[in-house]
Amino acid sequence: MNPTYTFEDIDDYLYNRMSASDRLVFEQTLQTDANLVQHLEALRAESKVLRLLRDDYLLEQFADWQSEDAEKKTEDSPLSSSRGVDFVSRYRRWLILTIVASLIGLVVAGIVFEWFISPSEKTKTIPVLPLEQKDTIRLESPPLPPNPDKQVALKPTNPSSNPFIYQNAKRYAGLAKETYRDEDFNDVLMGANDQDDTVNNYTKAVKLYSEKQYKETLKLLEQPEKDQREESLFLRGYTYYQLGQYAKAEQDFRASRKGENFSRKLDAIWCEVFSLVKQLPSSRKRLDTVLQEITTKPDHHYYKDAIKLQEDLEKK
Amino acid sequence: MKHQFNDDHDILKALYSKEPASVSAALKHLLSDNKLKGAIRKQVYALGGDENNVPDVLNQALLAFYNQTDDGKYNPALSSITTYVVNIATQMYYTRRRSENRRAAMHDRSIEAGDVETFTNPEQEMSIEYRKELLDKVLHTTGERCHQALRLQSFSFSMAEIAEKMNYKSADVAKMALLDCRKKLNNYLSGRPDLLAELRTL
Repeated sequence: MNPTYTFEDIDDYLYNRMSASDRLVFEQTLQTDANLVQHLEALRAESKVLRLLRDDYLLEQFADWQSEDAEKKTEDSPLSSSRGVDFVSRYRRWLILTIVASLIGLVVAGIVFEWFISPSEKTKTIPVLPLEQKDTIRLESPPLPPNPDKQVALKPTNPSSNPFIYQNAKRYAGLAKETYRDEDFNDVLMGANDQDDTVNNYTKAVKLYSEKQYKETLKLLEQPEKDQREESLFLRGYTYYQLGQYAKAEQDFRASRKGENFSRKLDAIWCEVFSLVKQLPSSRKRLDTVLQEITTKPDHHYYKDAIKLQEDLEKK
Repeated sequence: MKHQFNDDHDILKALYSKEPASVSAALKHLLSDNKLKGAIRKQVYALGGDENNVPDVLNQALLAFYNQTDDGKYNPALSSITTYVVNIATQMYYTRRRSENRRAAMHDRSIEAGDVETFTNPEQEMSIEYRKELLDKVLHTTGERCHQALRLQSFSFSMAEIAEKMNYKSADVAKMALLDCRKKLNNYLSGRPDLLAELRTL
């Protein structure tokens, strides 16, 4: 630096703290002293350095404030991670116990549902069709449980995806075919064609049944004559069976065999059996009850069939 | 002292005071202003940015606003602080995006041409990284304590405050220490015309 001018002199010149005469001399010296010019330029640049320093300081402040703000928001949040971690570590044992208890509860509820509220159990409690003593009987079945066959139909399963289900379905279909006994109602029609004026609803229904007009048959069987109630129920059971409504068929067959003078009581019990076979596996308990009823009487017409069916059902 | 800002006038009053506590409070108030942040976010998204860019753009826009206020460039009669800061943010981010796109295009062209020459971006001169680098170059000879003292001085802390923050015995001692730092800086810069030229461009 010029020996005549110190840093303080240059500072005074730059910030107008120098007298006019000194200022003039200083500017004359600047004309010839490159070193003094450099120092003056360096001092002018100082304000730029200070601006850079201030920017640096402020950016640091901004970053601090933003992180403070973020932390505050995190603390305020009820699900903040640190709070969440604290909560989990503090109540870990209780959380585990709660989860385990919930799982056990679910399992127990599942078992209870399976044993006490499953569809097969529900259908078991359905009352048998009451015998009405009226001149004209309207055949109305009691409210029926959801048709198990329809339920199955609502849940289509790909047989190849579950070989076990597919095997069982095949086995039940085989059993249903074996147990089914067709009934010939044509004896009722003998001579009926020639006596149209004496033909009652039942006879007309038999005729329609033999012509496989099952829906029309059902309509006629709604109001059978008083003395043909069991016959009508029996025929209607078959009609339901042909229409694939096996639960309703089962009801009608069971109701028909309650009639004391009904000539097809023995057949009706077997009809109930094959209607139940059609509803397997959900009807298994009801089927076992009916089969037991038959097998307790060795002289029963269907005793051997019942024994064979029991054996077939036991096979796996 | 608790600062309360009801309008732009209060904020400007605090900024013009140059008192560090008031300036800090005013800038903190602006930084936490959700309306301002939301408006900047909208602009950033419109220009193809995302949430990660928002704080950075906000910080730089606020800094530029404060510097312009300090330089007397901001006229409150022409626009509100929010409008002004959002405009700064939009221009800054637009320039940055354009620069990035241009750099990417140049990079692709240089790869195609087999050119390995480094591309120098003019906007890079204004980037935070560049400023930090320049500051390091300028202050590396003055020492850490001088760096800190000059930094406090840059934010208009009084000599008493500097003395307190830097554990000098008194304000006079702080003043002498600061003068010594300025001399060191002057001596270093006078011998570095290259750095002086760079500083002149700011």
